[in-house]
Amino acid sequence: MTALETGPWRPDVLPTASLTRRAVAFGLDSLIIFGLAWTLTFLAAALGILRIPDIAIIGRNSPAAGLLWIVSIFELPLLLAYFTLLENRTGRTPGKAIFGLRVQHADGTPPSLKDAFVRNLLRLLWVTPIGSLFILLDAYVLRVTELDQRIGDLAAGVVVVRESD
Amino acid sequence: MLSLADLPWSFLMALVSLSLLFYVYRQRQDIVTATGLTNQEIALLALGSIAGWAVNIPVAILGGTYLAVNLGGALVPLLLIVGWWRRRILPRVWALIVTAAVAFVSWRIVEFRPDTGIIARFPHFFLPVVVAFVLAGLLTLRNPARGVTLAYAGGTVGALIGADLLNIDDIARHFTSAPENTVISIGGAGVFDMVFLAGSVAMTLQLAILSLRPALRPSRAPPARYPGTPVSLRDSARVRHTYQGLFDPNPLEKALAGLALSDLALTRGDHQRALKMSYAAVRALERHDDVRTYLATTPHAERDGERTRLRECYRRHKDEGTPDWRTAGQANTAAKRLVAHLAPHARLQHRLEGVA
Repeated sequence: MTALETGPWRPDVLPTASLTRRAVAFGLDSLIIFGLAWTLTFLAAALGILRIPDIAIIGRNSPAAGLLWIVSIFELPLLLAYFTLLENRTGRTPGKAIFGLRVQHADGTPPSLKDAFVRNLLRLLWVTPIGSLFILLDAYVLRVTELDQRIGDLAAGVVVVRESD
Repeated sequence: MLSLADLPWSFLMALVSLSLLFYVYRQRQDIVTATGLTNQEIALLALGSIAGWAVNIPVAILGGTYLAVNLGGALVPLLLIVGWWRRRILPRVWALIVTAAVAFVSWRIVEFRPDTGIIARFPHFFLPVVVAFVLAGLLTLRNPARGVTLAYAGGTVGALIGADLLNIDDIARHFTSAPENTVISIGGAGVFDMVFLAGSVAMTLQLAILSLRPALRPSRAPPARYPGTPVSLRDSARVRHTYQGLFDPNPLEKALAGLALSDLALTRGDHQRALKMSYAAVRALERHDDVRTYLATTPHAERDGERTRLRECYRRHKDEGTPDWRTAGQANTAAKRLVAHLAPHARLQHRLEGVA
C-alpha cells in the first residue's frame, strides 16, 4: 500500500511548524512589540504629543504607572498592526524569521491583508478574561487539524510552515 | 429579592447568541450556505467581537483623555457589514429601512451618564433587538435566509447611529470635560455593548427561525448509469482556499478539493501532481462507508474499469516519472466523472465555495 492510500489525506505534504516553535517565536515577537510600545510612548511624550498622567499607587502619584497605562492603550492595536502588516507583506515577523517559520497559503502564496487581519484578530482571544481557555483550545485545535492550524489559521485559510530543517 | 432587572442580560444574550451560531455552523450547513456567509465571516461573527473586546483604537487625544473606537464592539461588525454590502448579500434598501428604525428606537431609549457613558435600562435595551428582528423578518418573508444579514446589519448600524452618533454632542462635551486618564470608547463594552447585541441577537433569532425549518435532504442516489456528467468546478482556487479553512473536512470536501488541486496543477503544467490529486480525490470518496458498500454491492463494468485504469495509471507514473499532458488530463476528467457518480451515494453536503 502506498502512503497516499494509508496515511492521512492532506492537499500536499507541508512541513508545518510545531506548537513549541510557534510559541517561542510569538514570545519573541511579544517582547519586540512591548519594547516598541514603550519606545513610541516615550518618544510621543518627549515630543509633547502625549502627556504622561500621574496615577496614584498606594496613595502616591507615580509617573511610571501613568506610562504603563498609556502603553496598555497602544500595545494591542500595535500588536494587531505589527502581525497583520508583516505577515501580509512578507509572510514572516522577526520572531518567525529567526525560528524559520512562514505564514502562507498551502500553495505558498502569502496571506492577503484580510486573511492576515482575521488570523491575528483571533489571536487577541488570548488577552480576553477567559484567554487561558482560548490558548488551550488553540493548542488542542492545532494538534488535531491535519495541517496543524489554530483557530485563526483555519478562519484565514492559512498554514504556518518551517522554511528550513 | 432578585428582580429580572438584576439578571446579567447582556451576558446571557451574548452566550445564547454565540451558542446558536456555533450550533448552526456545525449542524445546519444548509442554512449557512443559504445565507451566503463564508467560513471566515462565521468565525468573525462568533469570535471576532470577543477577540477585539480589549482593543480600543484611539482616534482623538485631548490632554489625558482618549476618544477611542472599540475593535470588537464597533469596527469588526462594521467591517463585516461593509463586506456584505459590497458582495450584495445584504438587501441594501431594506438595510437602510431597518437601520433607520433601529436608530430611532435606540436614540429614544438611551441616556447619557457622565460616570458610565451611554446606557439603556432594562427592559428598554431589548427594543432595538426586537425592532431589527421583526422588521428584518417581515421584509424577507419570501427569502428568509436574507433576513440574517439584514437583521445583523440593521441592528448593529442602527444602534451605533442611535446610541452613539446621535448623542455625539454629549460624548464631545464629556470628552472635553472628563477627568484625566479616561478612555471614552465607542462600542467599548465589546460583546456586552448594545451595538453588538442589537445586531447579534436579532441575527441569532433569525437563525433560530430558519433552524425550525427541516434541513435540506440530500438528493437520492442517481441510477447506476455511467458515465454521467462530470463535476464542474467554477473556481478551483476558491475551492482550495475555502478547503484550507475547514475544520474536520468530510470525504466529499476532500474529493472536491482534490479535483481543484488537480485542476490547478494542470494549469501550472505539473502533470505528476495533477494525476496524484485526481487519484486522491477519488480515493477520498471510495473510503466512505456508504460508497464502499455501494461499490461492493452494485458492480458496474464501465465504472469499475475506469477506477482500475486511474489507479494503475497513478501507480505506474508514481514509479516511472511524469505523465504527459494527455494522460494527466484524461485522469482529471475520469476523476471528475467518478466523483460526480460516487458523491450522491455518500449523502454528504459540502461547505466549499467555487463549486459549480
